[in-house]
Amino acid sequence: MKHSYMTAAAISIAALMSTGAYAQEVDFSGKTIELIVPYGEGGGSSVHARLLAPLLEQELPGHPTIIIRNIEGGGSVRGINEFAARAKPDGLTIAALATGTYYSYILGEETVQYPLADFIPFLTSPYGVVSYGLTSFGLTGDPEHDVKYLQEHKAVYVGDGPADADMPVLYCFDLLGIELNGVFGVSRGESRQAFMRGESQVNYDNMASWDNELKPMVDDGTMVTLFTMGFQNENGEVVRDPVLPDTATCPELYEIVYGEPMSGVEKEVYENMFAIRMVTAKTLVLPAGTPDDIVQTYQAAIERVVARPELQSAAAQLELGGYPQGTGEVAIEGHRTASVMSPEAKAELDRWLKDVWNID
Amino acid sequence: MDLSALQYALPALLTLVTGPHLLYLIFGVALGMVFGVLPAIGGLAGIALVLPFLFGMDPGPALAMMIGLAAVPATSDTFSSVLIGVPGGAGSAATVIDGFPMSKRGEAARALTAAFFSSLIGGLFGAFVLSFAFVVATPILMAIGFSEQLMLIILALTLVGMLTGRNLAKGLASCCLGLLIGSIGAATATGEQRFAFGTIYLMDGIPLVVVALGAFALPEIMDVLRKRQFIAGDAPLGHGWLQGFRDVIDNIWLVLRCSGVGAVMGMLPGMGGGVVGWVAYAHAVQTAKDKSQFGKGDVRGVIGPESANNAKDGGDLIPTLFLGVPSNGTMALFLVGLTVIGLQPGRAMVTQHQDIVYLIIWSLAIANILGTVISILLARPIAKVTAIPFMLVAPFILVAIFFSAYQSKSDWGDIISLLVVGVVGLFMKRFGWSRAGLLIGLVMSRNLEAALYRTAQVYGLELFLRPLALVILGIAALMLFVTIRAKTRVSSEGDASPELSMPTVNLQFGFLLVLIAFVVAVALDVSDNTFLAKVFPLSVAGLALIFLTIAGIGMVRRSKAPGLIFDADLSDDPETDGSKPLLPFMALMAALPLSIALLGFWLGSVVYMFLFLWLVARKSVLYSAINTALLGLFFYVMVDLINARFAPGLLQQLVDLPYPLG
Repeated sequence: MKHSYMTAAAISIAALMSTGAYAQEVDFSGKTIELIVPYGEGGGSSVHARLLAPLLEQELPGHPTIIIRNIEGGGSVRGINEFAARAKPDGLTIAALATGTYYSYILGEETVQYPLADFIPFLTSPYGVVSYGLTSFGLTGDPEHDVKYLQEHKAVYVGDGPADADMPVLYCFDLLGIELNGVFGVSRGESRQAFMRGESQVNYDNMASWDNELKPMVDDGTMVTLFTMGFQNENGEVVRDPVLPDTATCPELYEIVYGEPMSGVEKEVYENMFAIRMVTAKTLVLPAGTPDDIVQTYQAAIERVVARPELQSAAAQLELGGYPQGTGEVAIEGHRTASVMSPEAKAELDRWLKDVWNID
Repeated sequence: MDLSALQYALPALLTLVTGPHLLYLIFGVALGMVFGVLPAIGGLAGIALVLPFLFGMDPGPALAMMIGLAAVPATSDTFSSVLIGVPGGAGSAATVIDGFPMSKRGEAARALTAAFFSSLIGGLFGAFVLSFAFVVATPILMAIGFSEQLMLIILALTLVGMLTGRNLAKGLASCCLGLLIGSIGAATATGEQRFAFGTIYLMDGIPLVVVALGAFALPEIMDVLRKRQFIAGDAPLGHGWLQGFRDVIDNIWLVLRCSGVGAVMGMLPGMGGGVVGWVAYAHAVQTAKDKSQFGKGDVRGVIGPESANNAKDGGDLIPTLFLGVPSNGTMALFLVGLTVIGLQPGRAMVTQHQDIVYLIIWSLAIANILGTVISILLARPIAKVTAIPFMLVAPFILVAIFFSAYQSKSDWGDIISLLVVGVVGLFMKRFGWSRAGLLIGLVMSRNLEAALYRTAQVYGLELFLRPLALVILGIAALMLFVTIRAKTRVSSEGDASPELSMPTVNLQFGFLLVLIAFVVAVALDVSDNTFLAKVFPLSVAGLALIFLTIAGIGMVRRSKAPGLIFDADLSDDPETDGSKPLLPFMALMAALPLSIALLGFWLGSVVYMFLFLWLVARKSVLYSAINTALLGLFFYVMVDLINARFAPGLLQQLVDLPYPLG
């Protein structure tokens, strides 16, 4: 609790300062901006950041140099801790958050020392997620049949872990009454190899790999899609993922299985995870207490970045999944939903981790 | 086998040598040389540096540049391994075992030429394998499941059993210690913390490169400081260039076999690049008729790992390009580079972009040739370092080692781990505990645990119904048999007879007790975890205790078993007679991190350097100041070049200082 008082104090001081002497035009001429990526050089967050940074350099006033600093450790905790501790609210240090940053915070990991909800987001990049299974295992692509089949035949699942990026998908499987034999600590790329070798029978992937890697396997009959996590439209409703309009969403399957829509605390947990995994899959933030003029400068710059032709190229679209990028209020709202969880929802999540996966 | 893709080979070569590609390739190679020469900094830093410039570049030149950067460090990192005993990277520690003794004999020239020439053949071999493998690789890789990965790791472990030093119990105990250190951090299966004490630094384990630097580089430096005035001793320098070439020609089959080992191990999943050099080294030892010179400067001990390490680059590219699964950090960054220039790795590479694949293959081949030529040209001037009074070289090397170690996680934990491992390594070397065993255990630990757990979960006992797994297991059993029967075991810890070593037996026993205490502490710490998180470290700790106890009983009974009671400082080697006491030199080593802790890395190392040259090496103030200034400038440039970071000290905590002071 102590932390949030201090943050509150910092915000109010910064707010006072920003009303006076700092109310001039923001200019980053000759400045160097540090972008902290809390994962390794080759990770998805790093790709995302490296894709955007050169464009952001060109769109920020004064064309500053942006250096990407990969600070790995403890999931994403070390890098974001360092960001929270070190970044001054002057727009010269920014950070990339990823799903892990939110999970570590929400699960209350002891090492977390960052005030997640106080960070000011200026870009949220949504990513769709699709889960799929092997036809040779007995899956057909008919949702009703497949869910029942998986309930009766325990499949092997190879992935990262239920307390990590896999959480939403694994929670969905559990909501659908499907028990899995989990093998954890395996990266996404390796997981897909294990699936292709038939060592696991269900798996999931980021929609970025759909066209090149997954669709061919659906086309040649190796696998079928099971469900997507859905997609949030402009009205805030969860609808089918635009990339896979023929595949049901997790809530749809829930309704097929139980005859009624998801509700209560389960719905709340799902929505929270949806916000983390889908809406704010990759987020760029400014530190807590950044003055409004700097925030607005960043917001305006990133809107121009998102509209640039470079990001419409096929390769860039592959990385960004072709989803509309969240800027301005959309980013702020998405980040808020993703970083706050009610005590009831938290209790349900803890229960699930403990009961299903034996994780305290 | 469909080899129709070969039609793209020649046009790709023409593209490479005619367009701007070659210029970019040369640029990449030049940069890669610089990064490779620095200990423990390699292709990863290089690709990170050029990534921002790839935007908007044509794919061809961009690829040529990245391949140049990724391929050359495996050649040029040999300089530090051979000349100053500092592993040029986590994967090249095996080269140190025989390369450095050769330098100490005044044969630096021969060792370097042999290394570069075998690197060249290995690199070309890797490119050759890549040019065929990409058509057939996917089905082969699909056959290597978790169970096969496990068996391959077991096979590798039995292969390297040769390298456990004179005394088997001590050697196996060292290997178990490595496995145990490797299990520190988050458990693969559950993510639970083991022996991390709530620190974020230990949560991801101790970086391999820090242990490699601590266990090999620091003890060697202390050793030379205590015993010699020059690295090359009194031996004359400069002969042996032609001998190096001849060595490679004489051992051409060894070079080709080790290249094969490297290419295959780079390609296969689940092995990790750090072990390739060791397996090649073990293979060199195993197939040699006269094994007596290994560990003391046998050129085959250099040829083997060097050819394998370069061939590995070709192998590494196979899963990276065709499956989109990077085999190491450099390859992961290479994937990012591919995305930036608009190429998606995976099956599309094989079906739609054969021309690009061949461009990569030719770039790899030409990069290796360029790298070798430049290295051989540079070898003569750089080798002179072995004839400079070591007192003047040592502070540079020390500072470089601490700098490199800090780049692995940019955390003070890196420096503390380096110092702790350095001190332990010093005693391991002196008392005859296998540092190679320690490092091999560490390299294999994560992969072994993960493969065991995955195989158990997915297959259980059905493992024994997998034919390929059984075949590999059979080969492993054969290798184990050969290893146990082998009479000679390779030691990098020198010679000392039990009789002469007797006076310090109590001190040696005390060191053994320290090792036992560490094992027990880890075992106690992990025993609270869930079954899946503790079964591996507890089993390893159990094995370690058995081997340590066997060694301990032998010491108490004053056994004359070879290498058991062992003190390299008391050997009859004439070299040790004039050696200086250990403690002051340990203090000298520890003074550097202390200075960094007070003043931060840049200022701390500059001050240390100056004081070392002035007071310890007894040089004039002017000489010390000029050299120190050069060092300061070098690090200043490095930071800009590779985005390196300086460890902060107490001073930086108190005062906000401008870069590079802050």
